[in-house]
Amino acid sequence: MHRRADWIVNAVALVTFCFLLFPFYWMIVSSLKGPGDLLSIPPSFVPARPSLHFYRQLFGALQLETFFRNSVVLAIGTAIITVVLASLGAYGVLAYRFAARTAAARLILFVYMFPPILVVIPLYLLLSRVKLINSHPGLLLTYVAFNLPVAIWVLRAYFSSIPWELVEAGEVDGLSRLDALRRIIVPLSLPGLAAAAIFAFIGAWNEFLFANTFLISEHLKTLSVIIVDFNTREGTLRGEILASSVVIAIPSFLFALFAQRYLVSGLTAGATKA
Amino acid sequence: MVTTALAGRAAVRRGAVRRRSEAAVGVLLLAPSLLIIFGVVLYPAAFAGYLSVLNLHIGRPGVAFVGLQNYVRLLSLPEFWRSVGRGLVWTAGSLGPQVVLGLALASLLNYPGLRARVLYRGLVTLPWLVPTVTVAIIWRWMFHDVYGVINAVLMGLGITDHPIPWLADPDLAMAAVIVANVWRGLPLMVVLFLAALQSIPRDLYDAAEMDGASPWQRYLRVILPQLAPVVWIAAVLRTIWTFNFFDLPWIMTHGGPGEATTIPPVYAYLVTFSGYRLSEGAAVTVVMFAILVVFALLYFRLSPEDEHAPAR
Amino acid sequence: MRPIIASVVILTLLLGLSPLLPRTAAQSMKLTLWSTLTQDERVAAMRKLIERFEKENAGTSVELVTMPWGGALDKMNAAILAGNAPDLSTVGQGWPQSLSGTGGIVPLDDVAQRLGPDKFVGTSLRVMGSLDGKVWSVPVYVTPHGFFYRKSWLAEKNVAPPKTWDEFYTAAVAMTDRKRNRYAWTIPFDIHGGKAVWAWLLSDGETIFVPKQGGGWALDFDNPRTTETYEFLKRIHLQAAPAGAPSYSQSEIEELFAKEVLGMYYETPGVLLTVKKMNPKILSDVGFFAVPPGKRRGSGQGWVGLVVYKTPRAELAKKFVEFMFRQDNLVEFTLSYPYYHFPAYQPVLTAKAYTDHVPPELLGVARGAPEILKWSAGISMWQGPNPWAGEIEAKMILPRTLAKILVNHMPVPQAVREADGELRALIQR
Repeated sequence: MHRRADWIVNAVALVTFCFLLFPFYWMIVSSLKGPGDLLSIPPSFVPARPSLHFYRQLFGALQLETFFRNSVVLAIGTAIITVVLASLGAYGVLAYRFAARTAAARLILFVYMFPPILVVIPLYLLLSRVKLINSHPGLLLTYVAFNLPVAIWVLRAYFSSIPWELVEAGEVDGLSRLDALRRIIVPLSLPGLAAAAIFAFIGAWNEFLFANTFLISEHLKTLSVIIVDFNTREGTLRGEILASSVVIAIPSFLFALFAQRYLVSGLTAGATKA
Repeated sequence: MVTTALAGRAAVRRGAVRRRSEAAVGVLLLAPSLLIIFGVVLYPAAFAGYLSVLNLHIGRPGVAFVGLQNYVRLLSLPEFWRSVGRGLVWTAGSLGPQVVLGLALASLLNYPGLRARVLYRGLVTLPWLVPTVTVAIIWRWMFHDVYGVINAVLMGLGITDHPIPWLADPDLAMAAVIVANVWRGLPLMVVLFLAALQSIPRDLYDAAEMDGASPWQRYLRVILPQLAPVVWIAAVLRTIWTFNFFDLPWIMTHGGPGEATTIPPVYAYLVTFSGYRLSEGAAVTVVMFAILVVFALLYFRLSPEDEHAPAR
Repeated sequence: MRPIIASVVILTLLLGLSPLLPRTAAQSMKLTLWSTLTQDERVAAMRKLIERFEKENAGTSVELVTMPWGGALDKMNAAILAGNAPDLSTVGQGWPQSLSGTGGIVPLDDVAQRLGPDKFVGTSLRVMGSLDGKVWSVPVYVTPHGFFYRKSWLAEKNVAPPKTWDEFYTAAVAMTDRKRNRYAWTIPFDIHGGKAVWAWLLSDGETIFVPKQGGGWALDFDNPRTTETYEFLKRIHLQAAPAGAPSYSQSEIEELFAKEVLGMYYETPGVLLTVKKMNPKILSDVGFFAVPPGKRRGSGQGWVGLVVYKTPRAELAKKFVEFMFRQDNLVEFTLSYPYYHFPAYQPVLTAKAYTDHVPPELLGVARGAPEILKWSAGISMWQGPNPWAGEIEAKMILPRTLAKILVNHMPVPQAVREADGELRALIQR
């Protein structure tokens, strides 16, 4: 009886995931069709004549490398700066006593609830005044600001799960609290740091609204923005748009396959009682 | 003895100094983060409030203080209320299926006899990990009335004999963006619920089994109540985030057809960047924020210890 | 530990302070040009011009920033407001009039004088580039708009190219055959839709604004002509457009025309490029006709000009504009994208270097072009340039009204009334 139930459940799971992941299959298959086959009615489920035409266009005429590079630089920069500042901040809240630290912690969560749309208009004016508009540093600053709350929360949960005795033992050995962070906490929290870094990377990589509003020069734009821009160009770039949506999803695919552990533990850190 | 007492008092003083300098270090560690958050999020948000009581208009020089005029005008505009209504439909329509399907899928993945669980768990995160641009483009492509695969399948199976204009009908368009949004948000729910399910102690399961309860009853009476706190938190946070979500409806349908998918964030954007009414756009976002503060209060009411990590 | 903290703090500070670093003296000779002409060919042509200009004017440099049409006017307005406007930019129809109200651009009467105001074709300078007697923009090219259609589809049903509204309706219905997945026409329901609706409004004698005695403009939109036009468009869309039409952008419509789902396409000859790319075998089957006249001739034109912003480098920017109008430069630029670039400047129109190189598919269009260009005008500008044309287009008031009629099943008079309300709010602010 158990065995039959097992079989049913596995079958259901397989079918469910086929449906769930079908859009990805469809996107990849569509991007591999040649320009003649893409708009056939009815569409074929397997490309009759697979072709890399649209990808070649992307990296040829459309020069996607520039935008790919922009996205990479911004995402990595965001990840590094966010994780460094967030670990400092999380540690500061946990390890030191000072007035208003719970208030600070709550404030950080409060910030999470600010709609980006609330902030984009005034931020545009403010960044223009300090000449940070249409620049990567300005956008980077924005990304760090919006990713810090999540990162601080994740890291705080991770740090708090480390037994305090280890720090105290270190203090006996003459380590200051700060040294303890570097020598003890960080090495033990690598999964948490990795998770925070990945979230920050993904947050910056996927972001659209701020990049779209703050970046005006074409050569500065990120992948998200340029793909949407393709829609407004004269003529049709349907196949190229589909191919570029595959390209922009590559880091996500890589993370899902190879960094699943960190993602999942990061998401659940603190969501269930630590 | 005197020396000991002196030493003791000095030690206390050193301790006090040490505590103050400790506190200072703590503040210093948190300072850069707070500074950035303040400068980039809080100050502009307050600035938006300031903008909303002016009459700033892109393309028209000169600006004056107009008090609550923008709010009065906004709250009397039927199109604003229509957009709020749509926002509620969008949020509720997205959250309901996400929670239900999330629970179902998580329970499925929690089944002891499931093979390749780790693989599934990795794959399930994909819709959430990929950029919104990708989600919007692929679903828009699938819902295309002439070339889309959804219509092709429906017509091929004989369910309908003519192409359904998904993105051209106001209700169907809203359904389409909701489907895309549910698909996109599902992984988060699944991962959270799965972790919660896996943290339920084994003996609870066993105890229920010994009581002779059927699997379904077990699920309803024992498991679900254990999950309730996590489900609630996830739902509240997700509601806030969904209500604010601009990217997906914008890229997928541009708020159309007509204004059928113009939810409040899209409405605010259009008022500001298409209507050039900067101050009115700011007022819309402030009202949106006020609505969300209500939700935030709800959340704080439920978790005084703030141990829960929000995640997008 | 301390070094780490120190380096992070310094890094953050550097990020914030970098834009305040001292600038070199060369800044004052560096022009920023925002261009909405994003295609490779035009960018290459622009870069060539820039190179030549920089060589001729040693010590100057021009930074070319490209951006798509959608949202560009908003960006320009926002930049003026925020104080970081470029030195010059391309503009679409109605934009110079809009921008002039911000105080952020400078009049170009002197430039126009030097170039010879009578050398500009038809309405391109005096109407499309001016407001209240001042020149705010000089046109770099114009594009005749009209209907591109499948000759064989009409020939099949023995229908001739339409010359009246009724004939157009007949032709549209004749082309439509749901079983063969064939439809006639739809407007794009994005920012380009206004041009299509305006072409028909104009043809029905509607002008949106009328000049008042003693100056100023009166709004005249909620009237029988407008209602009649929208009723007509509604009938066409219900009978002869695909059900998904309200969700189509202009590039999707080009696609559908090239893939033989739509039998007609309105607007620029650029569609021929798409046909060439996706389905070249039908290229010879594509014909052209202007919007059938109702009470008046319809059709519109595309129009792109240059504006100079109020920056310390305005005089240098004006120099660049005049440089661009030099015969060889403008001919080369016009020919870089011949499907969209029809000369607005007489010397180019008659230059052998130009006429010898126009592609053959465009001959049909070229024949109809002069008439169309002579008297058509941008949205709402038939009576003359007014300050709101750019905004009407950017806010998509005209196509959204049709969307309400089709998608929300709103009665035509009510939709027209709502649009009238929006226009009234626009001109009252």
